Amino acid sequence: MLGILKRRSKAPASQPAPAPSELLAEKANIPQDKPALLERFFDRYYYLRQNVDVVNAKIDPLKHYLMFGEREGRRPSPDFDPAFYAKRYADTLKGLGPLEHFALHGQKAGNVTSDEGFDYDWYKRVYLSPAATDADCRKHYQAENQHGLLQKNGNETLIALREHFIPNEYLELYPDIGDLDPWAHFVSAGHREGRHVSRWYRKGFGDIKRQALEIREQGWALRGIDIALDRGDLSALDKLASSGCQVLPAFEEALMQSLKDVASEISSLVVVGALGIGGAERYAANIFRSLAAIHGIENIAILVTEGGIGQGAQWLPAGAKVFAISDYLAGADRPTRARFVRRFISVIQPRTTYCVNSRALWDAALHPKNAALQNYSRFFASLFCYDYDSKGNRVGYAATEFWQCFDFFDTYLVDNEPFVQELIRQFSIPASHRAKLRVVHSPVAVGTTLKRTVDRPMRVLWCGRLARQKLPFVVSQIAGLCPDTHIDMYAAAGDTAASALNLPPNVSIMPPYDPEKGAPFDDYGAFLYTSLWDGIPTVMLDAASSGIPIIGSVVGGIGDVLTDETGWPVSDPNDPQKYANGLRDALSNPAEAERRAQEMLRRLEDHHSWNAFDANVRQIEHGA
Amino acid sequence: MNKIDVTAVINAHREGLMVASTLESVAKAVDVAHGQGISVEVIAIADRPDDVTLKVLENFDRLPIDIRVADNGDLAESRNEAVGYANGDFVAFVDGDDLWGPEWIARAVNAARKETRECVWHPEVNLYFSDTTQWLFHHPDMDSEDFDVWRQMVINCWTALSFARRSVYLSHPYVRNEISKGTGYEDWSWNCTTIARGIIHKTVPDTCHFIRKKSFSMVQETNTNEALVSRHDLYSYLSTQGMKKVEPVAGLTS
Repeated sequence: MLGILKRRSKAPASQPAPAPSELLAEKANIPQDKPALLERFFDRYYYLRQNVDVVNAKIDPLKHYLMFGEREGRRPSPDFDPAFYAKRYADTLKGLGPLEHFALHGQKAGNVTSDEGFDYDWYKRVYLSPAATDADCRKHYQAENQHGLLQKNGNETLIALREHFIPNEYLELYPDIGDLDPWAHFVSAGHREGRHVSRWYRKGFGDIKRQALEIREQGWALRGIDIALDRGDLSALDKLASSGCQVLPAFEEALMQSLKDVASEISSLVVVGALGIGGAERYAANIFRSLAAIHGIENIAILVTEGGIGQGAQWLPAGAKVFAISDYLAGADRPTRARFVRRFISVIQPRTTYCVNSRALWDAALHPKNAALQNYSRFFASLFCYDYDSKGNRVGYAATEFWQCFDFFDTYLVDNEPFVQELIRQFSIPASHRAKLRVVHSPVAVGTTLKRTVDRPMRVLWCGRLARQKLPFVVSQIAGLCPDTHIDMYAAAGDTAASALNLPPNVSIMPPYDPEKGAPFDDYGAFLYTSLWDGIPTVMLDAASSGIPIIGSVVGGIGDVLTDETGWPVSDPNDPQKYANGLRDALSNPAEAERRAQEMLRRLEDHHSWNAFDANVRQIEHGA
Repeated sequence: MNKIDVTAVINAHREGLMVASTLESVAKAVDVAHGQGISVEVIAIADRPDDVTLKVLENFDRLPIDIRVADNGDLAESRNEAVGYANGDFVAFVDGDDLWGPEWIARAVNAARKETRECVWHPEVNLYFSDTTQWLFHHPDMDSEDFDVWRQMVINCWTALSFARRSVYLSHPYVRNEISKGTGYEDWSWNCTTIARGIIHKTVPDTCHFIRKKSFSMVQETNTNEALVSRHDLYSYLSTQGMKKVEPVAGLTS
């Protein structure tokens, strides 16, 4: 912030005698005609009032402006805001100062000179006329705003309504406004309150007067047959509100726009909470790729329900149709997003819909009438692992939603077998229904060679968030037990400060690795992974495919890949000695490390290949 | 049997005394139609009616009414059933608590006879009324320049009190509401389906309906349950059409 603050000049302390313009220009290296050019737009008294330092210095205000004030961005008059002008007309300044540009070209072109909260174009068209000047606007505002009704900027639709506004009719319709200016009242309040600009004008609803007269005539013909209809005042139809599809509420407008943007038949829809660079997003992207291969990319869409379209979009193939609720309904609350998803799916009617950590779709699944949604699509959801809150309670979709709407989703795609078994145990899922839980391992690109040449074999790589889940304190203890190694922690911010870890000197905190390039496995002798709970973390799979020896806690789905055959698993994630033992073994025995890495690659080939993932999605699609 | 121009269908259920107002409004509309040489038969289909509703229907002597008691428990099914009984070239629906403007039948017939395309007709405007409030609900005409058919995807542009050739209703029956399961809005779904078949929804100039807003109605129940519109294929139709204006697919010779 400091970098953009400019220090104001100190006005010279001496008091030079006022100089003629030519002399001034000469002394200040100012073009001779510039003072004369600018003088008529320069307000000496205003300048002195605003700049005490100039008064104290007893310097000619125009001279000060030309020598210092102009480049310091000081205002030459109340009507001219140089910063505003320079920004608004940046394309046309061509090296001229803002006031100079205005004097030479801007005035002729009718350029706007100041903001002061005014949208001058709007103000002129709403209250005055396009021919009015900015000064007229300010004068009008000062003179007419005694009731505080005037606005300096506002809704564009008001401009169009002005031509339909009939002051006398407005006063007759709404005598409650008293002696307030009717148009000013409409702009400031009446518009928001749904009041009408005149007796018979409703934007978008046609010839209201003719319609109302028809109602009056035919309503009179029905007089006496319905006591409730009789009670209505058919002489006051001009005051009634109008509704119809011609004017949509914001939610429907947003939904319609999103549908227009999709505007193609969608076979499968992937619904994700966010499109960042987490493991779940990568999983969603892989589902998308597989679906695109099956149905054609033009028939697949991805809907982001909570966040925006983030870096995760890089994992999607070119031409992917990606939509985010936030682009249509910024700031929508949770119930609204769930409603949006329900309505969106009921219209698009994709044959299959995949939920990957979408809060909105899980909420829709929890809806008491969730069965209705099943008329429009078949639903699948991914599950990865439990999360845990600070008290150790299980949280996350698997803990809080899954069991409540178990039947809503046809199949649950779980990326590791241990979690499937845990869910079956936890929720006593009957054998007849266990097929709904399907292990669909995350795919990972598997290399073919393991010949690693590492410059720093005793350096260890750790990746994760500095958060309780990832056990950064344990890393510190491991380092203390392995003084002959050096651990580089590529750490993303979490709930734990690095300073609180009391790290020994053989640990360095590194910035998080670039997700586009991946972690620098090739630079390290071993990969250390510490975690209290997990699914199968993406970084673990990436490490496994790189051939680096892995020492890691076996929690959640990690045991699916990390075994005594493929690396150095640690069964107690809180025991630093076990990690230290594994590290020493892996680093001191390269032949064994390579053997286990080879086994790891075979395991990845068997379970985590793209073909295996793709085949799984195809089977789900064909069964759907 | 003489040729019937219009079958007026009154959908009754448990409106009780309120159905009398509807019958009166239908009688006035029939009078106006008869005055212009338009023949009208009136069918009241009473779906699981209560005793009062049935008695009011039976005792109404201003019109001959063909009363059919049904056991559908569903407005969509009752509409379909009534169309099966209808003999008119055209069918006009009115719900048992709403009122037609007296000119409705006559003006709708005249408009429909002038039109060569297959159309569904609606009044220009509706006055919603209750004991305490009134407001206007304006119907759009698909032929108007500013009509955007995508709006029908997100909001129902027309009420259920439609008028069309009997063949339209026979070819495109209403989809049963499953409000308890979360789907409904049979009229919204039907409007979508018919548009997807190339049928044009138009307004009849200078016509209006009077729609009663009860403290609790099926539409409100549907809204309360956040029901979804029963399946239709308008989105699919519009997607394959692209964003161009919907063109009719069927033409009539008279």
